[in-house]
Amino acid sequence: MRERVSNKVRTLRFLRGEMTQEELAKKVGVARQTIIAIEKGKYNPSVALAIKIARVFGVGVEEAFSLNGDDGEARSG
Amino acid sequence: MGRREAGDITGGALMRTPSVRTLIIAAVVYAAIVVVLAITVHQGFYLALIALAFARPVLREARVLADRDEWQSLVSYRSSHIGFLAAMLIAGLIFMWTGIVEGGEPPYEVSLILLTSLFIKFAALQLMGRTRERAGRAIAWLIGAGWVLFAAAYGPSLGTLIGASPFIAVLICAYLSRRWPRIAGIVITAIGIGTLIAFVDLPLEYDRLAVPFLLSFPLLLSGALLVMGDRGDEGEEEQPAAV
Repeated sequence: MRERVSNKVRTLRFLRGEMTQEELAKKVGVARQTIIAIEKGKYNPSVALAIKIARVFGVGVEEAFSLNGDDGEARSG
Repeated sequence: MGRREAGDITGGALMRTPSVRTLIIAAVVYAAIVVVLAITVHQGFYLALIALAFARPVLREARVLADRDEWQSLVSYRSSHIGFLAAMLIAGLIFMWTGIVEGGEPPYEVSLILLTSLFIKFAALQLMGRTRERAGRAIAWLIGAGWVLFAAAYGPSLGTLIGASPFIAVLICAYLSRRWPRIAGIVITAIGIGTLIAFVDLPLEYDRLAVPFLLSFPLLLSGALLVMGDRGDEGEEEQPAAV
């Protein structure tokens, strides 16, 4: 069975005063399309990128990303 | 290098591009070459156009250019892989159609593209996923076995045995490389050089590329990998330090 990874990136952006995808992308050094893919659950980021995204929001990696769809909004397998 | 911006926690670590100045210089040099080739109606003009299509991907693979992040790289790799599979499927179909259905000789160019691409795929997989020694050994087994089978297709005879003897030697070296990798690597390299001297005439002609591409260069690669050996990148598992 494939593990599913879910993420709260969209929610965390909203809680950060509707930070745009472009702003988040610039902060972590990727393209906006990459943030879109992550939010839609089409792509699971590398550990390095997951840590960077979590740091932008000041949360732990497991708060932003979780395994098996614990609390997430976007899921990918 | 990417420009560092306020709040940029990466410093552009994931996305790097050459400076504007570098890009302008490269573009001007390339344009000048293309113009000269076009004016002189030189065949190299087509080569310059092909180079334009492949320059960026090659520079990315060489890690000179890092203008794509991990998602963009993944999408690019997947699309390239689909393209590779489609090309191999078409080449394989032509190969089988002409060789099996029509009972003739498959086109040389198709065989060369098919086998070279599959070998490079195999070698890259070995190089990326295994130690140098194991990769070198695997390449030696493949090339030795492949050419022995090719020689054996001429039927059992003394001539076949003599023709296959260098490749049988490669197989023996592949076996012995478990115990003496460097010695086996040196012998395989010598056989590779020998095939270049014996079978490859200069200037190279495109219809005689099979020997260097599918025999000499792979043997030289295998030999070099065995001689270089491993540097502990996949050797024995390291034990955690006692707390």
